[in-house]
Amino acid sequence: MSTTNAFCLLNEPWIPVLWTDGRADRIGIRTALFEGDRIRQLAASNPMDNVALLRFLLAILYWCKGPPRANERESHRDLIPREWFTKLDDHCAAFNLFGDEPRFYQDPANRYRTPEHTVNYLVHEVPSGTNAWHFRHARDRVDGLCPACCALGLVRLPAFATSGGKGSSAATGKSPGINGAPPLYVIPRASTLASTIMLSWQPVEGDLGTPEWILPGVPVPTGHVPLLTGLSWLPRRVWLAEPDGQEAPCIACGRRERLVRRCFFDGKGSSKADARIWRDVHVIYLSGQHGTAKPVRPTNVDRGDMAAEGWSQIMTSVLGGGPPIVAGAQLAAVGFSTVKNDKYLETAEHVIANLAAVQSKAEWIVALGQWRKSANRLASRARPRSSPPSRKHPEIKSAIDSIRPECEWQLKTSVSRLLAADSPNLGAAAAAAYKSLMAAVARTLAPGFTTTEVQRRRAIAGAIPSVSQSADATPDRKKRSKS
Amino acid sequence: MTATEQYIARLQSLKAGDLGMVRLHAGKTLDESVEAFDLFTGLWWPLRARSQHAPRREVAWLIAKLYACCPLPQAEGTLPVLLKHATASDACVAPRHRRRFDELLLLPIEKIEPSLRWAISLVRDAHIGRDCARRLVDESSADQVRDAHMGLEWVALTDDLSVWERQNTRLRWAEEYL
Repeated sequence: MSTTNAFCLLNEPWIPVLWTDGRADRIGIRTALFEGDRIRQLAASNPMDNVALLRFLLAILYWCKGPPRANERESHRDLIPREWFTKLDDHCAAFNLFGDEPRFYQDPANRYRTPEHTVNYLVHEVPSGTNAWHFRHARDRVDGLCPACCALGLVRLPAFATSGGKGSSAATGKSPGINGAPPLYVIPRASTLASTIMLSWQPVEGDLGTPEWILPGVPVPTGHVPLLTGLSWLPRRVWLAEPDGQEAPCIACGRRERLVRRCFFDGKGSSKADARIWRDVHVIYLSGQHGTAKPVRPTNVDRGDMAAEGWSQIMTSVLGGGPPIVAGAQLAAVGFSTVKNDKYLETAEHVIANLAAVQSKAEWIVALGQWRKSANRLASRARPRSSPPSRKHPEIKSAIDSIRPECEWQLKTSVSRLLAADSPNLGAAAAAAYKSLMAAVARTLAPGFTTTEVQRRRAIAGAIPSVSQSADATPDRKKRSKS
Repeated sequence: MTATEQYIARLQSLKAGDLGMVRLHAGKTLDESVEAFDLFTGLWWPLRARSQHAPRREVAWLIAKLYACCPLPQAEGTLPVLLKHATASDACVAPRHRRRFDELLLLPIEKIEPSLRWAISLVRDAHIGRDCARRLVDESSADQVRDAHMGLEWVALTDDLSVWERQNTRLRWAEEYL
């Protein structure tokens, strides 16, 4: 830490990375940008941080260099020139985490407000307030964050802040980020950090705006939102207390440092996201009613099988409207999986490889849709044919829901190979993924040894989902009951 | 020749009179008749004395009674498979026979004799026709039975009944039937 205790993010180690030689490390902003060709990837343990950090570094690139001109992306695909970032030297103070203003991502209007809130608010996975039922426990204003984790928490806010209820006053409700409820972020990834940043560095027309580390306290944006404003807009007003006391373990990363325990943490007021004109570079938009474009969001996972089929829904969205992919690049889709209307959040990351080889996107989308439909009917196909329609058979769905995550994971792995061959033939892969576990389900649901049980066991074991519409047809129940 | 094969061979060498005497004790235990006990002891004890792998006494007595009722020759064709073929031709009774076969699979060894007798009778009837069934006990019909190329895998039946308490045995029967 610097002698002035300012913790300048340009130089202090706070960004977790993995170097190409396999070392894990923490580095500053300058190192991340200047040596990006020797950095394999951002390596935070939470996928949200990797997305947020990449968007932050991208915003710095746009701020320092502007949008790419002709051939600049191709000619500097592997290494970003240092001379593009002279602006960092001119605004070094804007990246100080502590000390006098300016402070990075902190609103000076709250400098003299009492830091009455716990700093743990910055990190979603650290429970705070009334969240007493987590597996881990943290004490508000006793446990705290190290400066690096404070910086990560601040950088996370623009992309992943959720609606947080009322603030300190009626005018300071805690709204979500620029995209409203956090959508699915789809990030193209290459073999190095520099190449990954360049993949997202796309031409942009018009005014780029001013990032919030230069112009803090931007109110809730409405109307047309410039790129830099959108990438860096903070839905919270934050002012960190200075690190205090002796060294202690950080509640987020565990490193022993002088911790920040308190902060001032408030909202900027509520608003509707659809009042803005904003197209995020990392979000897929689907056409909605009345010509509106709605961002793709991860689906609610209240149902036991929703998490299992999430990968195919995401792949369908990416094939339908994802960013263009260059050969050798992957797509990382990161977003929240929500339970009970955002009461519980899980972060999910799906990595999709070999998309560059796909030419027949429409066929893939159809095949994936048929697959989901067939897989969702698996429980009904496993019902005894003689069972009256009024019987629910909850044990069948429960048994199948217990195996679907493993089967879908195996299928997803096989699909990567099919993508490379551009062969949307999911049938054989699906059969291989489901066969052994459906046999186990069959033995569970029909454990006896009579011919009736053996026949039922064979029927259940043979009820493999397919991508053939005709093979998945279920007979009309009314007709069956009459016969 | 295994101990089971030797036992079946000895059963098949019994004369009609001995078979008739065993047949009279269908459904009864060995303790209920001295003559049956003596006959069975002469049949089974020499094998048991030579080999510990001879069928155990209860199973051997059960097989003896079943053979006496339906003295089909030893031949290929396990009971579930033959039963399936015997019932497959009649679509009306097939479901009823299948339910009865499932009931057989659920029975313990102590109570299985009547069901097995039914199953073996069905197999016999399917081969030679119901008109011949009532004359099967007549010695002269033995040639007719042989000429009809019918039989039953008695050795496999004996071995299966020796481990009847194992679920795999009954599961295999159900799969063979299907």
